[in-house]
Amino acid sequence: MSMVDEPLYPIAVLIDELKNDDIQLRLNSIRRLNTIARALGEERTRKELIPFLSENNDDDDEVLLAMAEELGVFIPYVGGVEYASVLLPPLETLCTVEETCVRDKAVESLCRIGSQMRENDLVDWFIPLVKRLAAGEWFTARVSACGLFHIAYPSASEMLKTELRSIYSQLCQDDMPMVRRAAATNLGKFAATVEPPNLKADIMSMFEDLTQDDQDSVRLLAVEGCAALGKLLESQDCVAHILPVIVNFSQDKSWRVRYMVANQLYELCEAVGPEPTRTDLVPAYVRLLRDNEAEVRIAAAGKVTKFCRILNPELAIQHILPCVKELSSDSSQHVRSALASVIMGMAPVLGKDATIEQLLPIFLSLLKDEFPDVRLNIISKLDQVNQVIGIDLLSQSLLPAIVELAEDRHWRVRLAIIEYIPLLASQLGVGFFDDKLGALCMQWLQDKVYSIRDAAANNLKRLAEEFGPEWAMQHIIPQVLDMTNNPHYLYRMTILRAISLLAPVMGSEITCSKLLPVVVTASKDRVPNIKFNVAKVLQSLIHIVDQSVVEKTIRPCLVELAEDPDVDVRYYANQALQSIDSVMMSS
Amino acid sequence: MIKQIFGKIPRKQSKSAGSSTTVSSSDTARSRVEGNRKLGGSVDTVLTVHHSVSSNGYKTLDKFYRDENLDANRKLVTASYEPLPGFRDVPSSEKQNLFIRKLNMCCVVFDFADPTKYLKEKEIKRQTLLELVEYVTSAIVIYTETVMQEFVKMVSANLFRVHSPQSRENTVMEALDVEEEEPAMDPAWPHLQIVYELLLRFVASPETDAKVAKRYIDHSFVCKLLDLFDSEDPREREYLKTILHRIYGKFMVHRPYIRKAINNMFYCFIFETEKHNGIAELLEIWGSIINGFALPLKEEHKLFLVRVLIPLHKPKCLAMYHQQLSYCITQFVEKDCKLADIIIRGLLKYWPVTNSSKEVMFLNELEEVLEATQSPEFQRCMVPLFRQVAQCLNSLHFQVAERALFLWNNDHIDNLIKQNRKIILPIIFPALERNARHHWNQAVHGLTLNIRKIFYDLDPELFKECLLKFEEVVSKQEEIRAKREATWNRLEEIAAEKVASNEAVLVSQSSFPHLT
Repeated sequence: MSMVDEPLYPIAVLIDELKNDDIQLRLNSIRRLNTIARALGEERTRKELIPFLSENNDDDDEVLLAMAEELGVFIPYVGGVEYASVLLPPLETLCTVEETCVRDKAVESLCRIGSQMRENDLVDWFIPLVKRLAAGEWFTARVSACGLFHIAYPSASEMLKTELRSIYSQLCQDDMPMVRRAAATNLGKFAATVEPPNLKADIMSMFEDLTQDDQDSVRLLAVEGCAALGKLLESQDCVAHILPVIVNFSQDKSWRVRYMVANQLYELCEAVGPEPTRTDLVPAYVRLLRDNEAEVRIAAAGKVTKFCRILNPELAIQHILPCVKELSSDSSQHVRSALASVIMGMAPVLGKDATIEQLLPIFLSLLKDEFPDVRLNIISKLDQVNQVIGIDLLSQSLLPAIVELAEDRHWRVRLAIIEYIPLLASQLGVGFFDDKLGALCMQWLQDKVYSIRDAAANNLKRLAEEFGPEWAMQHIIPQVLDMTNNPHYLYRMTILRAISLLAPVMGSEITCSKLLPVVVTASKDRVPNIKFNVAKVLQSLIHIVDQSVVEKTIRPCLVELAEDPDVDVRYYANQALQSIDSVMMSS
Repeated sequence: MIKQIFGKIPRKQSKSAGSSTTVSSSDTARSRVEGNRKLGGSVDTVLTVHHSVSSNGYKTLDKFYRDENLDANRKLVTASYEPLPGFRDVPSSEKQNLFIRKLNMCCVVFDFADPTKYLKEKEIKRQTLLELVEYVTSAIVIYTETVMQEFVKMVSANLFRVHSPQSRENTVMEALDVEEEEPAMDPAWPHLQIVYELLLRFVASPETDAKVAKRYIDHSFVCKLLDLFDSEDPREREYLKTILHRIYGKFMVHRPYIRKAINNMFYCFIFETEKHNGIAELLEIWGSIINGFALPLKEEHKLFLVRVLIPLHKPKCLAMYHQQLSYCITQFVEKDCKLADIIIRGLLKYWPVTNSSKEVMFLNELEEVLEATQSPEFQRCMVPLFRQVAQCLNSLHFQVAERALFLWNNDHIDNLIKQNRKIILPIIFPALERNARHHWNQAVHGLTLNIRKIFYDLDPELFKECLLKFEEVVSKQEEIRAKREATWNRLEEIAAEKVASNEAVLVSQSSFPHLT
């Protein structure tokens, strides 16, 4: 080839490719930047490629995003960490573009590079970059700066540290809410690198500014900072500075802020320690559980178990349990649903007596809830229920709930309950199962919705695994085989599916004696879809039954199907025949 | 002076006469009456007073009412909420005081979440508010500082609230028809509407002296008013739009602040959330502001175009406010045709990739901008512009292709294209040719043939040249692709050689595992 002999200039190739109209081609070449860099060698990469990239920044955002990502892992191609600083200029430019995704990725890459850089390089290159961005004219630069302080700060000298803290404090009071939000988001990360005395003085005052911001979007992010900051402070400082803020936030006029407190409360409790939790946070939490806004109650209800675990039983019974009772008949189904998904975890905290006396009635009422989600959430935690109160007490209430869910008009609900059936079976035991649930499992095989029929077939397999082949021989196989003559071909197909799933569990003998004959009969079906499914099932049975059975029964059946007028039937029959041959070859 | 002194006497009397803690507390803190939620069927009405004006000192008071005084307050409010005498029933000298007392009374906010609660009180308040409107309309109200203060306090107490979250109920199980979401109508509208009406009349009244009123209609008031634009209720946004526009007109001192605050909302919408209900209304206000810009345009306003209006094309819900945005944009081009180049390049930057309906909107806007574009600006951006147009011509969505072809129906644009055909035809020729050969849609196919013919008739030489070039490119397509692949493979080989020869160096840097 003559091309091979032509000299090739890697940079020229890249420039050429980046001029192409087709964005996909430009993207591809950016994704292969490392090829260009390796072809150039480290020195020319530093001197030619990186400067070129610094200037090539008016492309589509998608291309810039790819570039920001590639540069983050580029240190090896420029000659290792001692040259890492050459990567900063192109990323600095990317930190100032309009598109948020690009900026975020550039910050991420800068952090990745900065965390590998040598200390004096950080001081010489990284910190000046952070300062330039923080003083940027447009908010994009200042927003990006907020995410870099935690990398820059640790290697700075005392004087520089003071300066960096004061710059961050300015960012917390920036004119534009966008910048204040970024400062609030990153405060926790930055605080983790600041020495304890400065933490108490400077960082706390920044935090207080943010908590009093007039934009609820900023206060919201400050709540998230509470937990992170609290963990950094000494316990008594935390109680003095963070606790009042939390209590105040829990009464914020914006429901979003209260929602955030409810979501974070558990982490906040960990930060302030057990004693203040009991005295101050319990009332705050109770308020949130009774909040006017359903969203807040949803968030609070979902944490009820976690919260009770850090309280002693008396407090939980005295303060939290009454709220739980109220929530179990809340007007919003989502509140009840959130409660239902965690409530059983409270049992070990409350102890057996309180559980039976107080929790059980709540539990039973949720099990009869008019909304299926609520009931499902309870049933999904059945193993926990069983441990606490035992199945006898439950079975009376459980069964009607399950039956009702099994016939729910929303197929997703039916699907969910089917998925819990094996769990139920293992908890309830064979006896209970046979009486009450066996019929349901068969009924699902004839559901209107394909996903349900498919799940039903799968369920039979899992039951057979749970209770063993002998049980299945009595309680599953006969019923399934009864349905092979269903007038509707879709139902007949479901049966084939069930057979192919059950065969491996039932073993060779039962498969040969019971299942295989049915499949062979089905190969005479008048519907081609059934016939090619027969071919597929037969293919799956090859590995289960003996060689002799394959030759005597399966192969003739497939050979016949391979002559079928329908092209798909022939195709799958041939596929199956081929795999018989390959099994023979290998054995 | 004397009026102010008089003003205080009846207020004190009303305090002691009604002995109403709530009404008097509303002097300092906003109070809100709320029925508690039904708990387990037992109907238990508890009155909570909460939500203070965000000024700092009120928080403690607020908490006090919530925690300690629930029951006491309930009795007091229900007992004390009685209608005041009508304006006709008092001598003229008393009217001003009565006005203030009625304003105070309307500071109590009722919870409309439960329609069965406080029916009598709600009606009393509604009547009182209507009386206020009538009084403000018919009589000449003297807006003294006290009146303004009380007035703004009442408006703030009623309007400034945090919008409830969107209901989840219709998204999860029940609703199969979530596409056609009804906007949430605020149940408190019967009161809100009259309060908005009052505020509008207050702001619009020639009796309101902006120099004094700016102390009460201050930055914080404007900021909270702006927050309300996110309301889901279109009726509320309509009022807000009219009122903010009046405020902008009347309070010259606030203008820079208002512009900045709106821009911050836009930035948040564009770069962070992409969710806001009031963008269209805010842009409508901007449309009228831009309309009033003096020429030559200030740098600040051009910056607004580049940093706000053009990026506003990015969010996916553009359809909600495109009409208003497009109006703002064309205003700019009409004021200063030199901006056309910047605007067109901006549109190209945000041109939709997969959203066809958005693409049609862009094409509509493009036509309007081009309509006002002069030849020099057109020439500056025509190359990238027609690369995009070429892609639109080939769109598989017939509406997009059709809309792009309709550009030729515009005489002004048609002329610009004809004048610059030597540059434009080579760019769009492949697209025209491909459409003519195999676009699935009949209309697109036909329109393309027409345009092809126009070019042919106009300049057959050029046309043939382009056709030859096109044939050549098509025949070489595969070759170019193969060459590109070969080049990259070759680069890969060189890279591998270099790495191999540098192995000694690289091994010492084995801390980067992905190298090998």
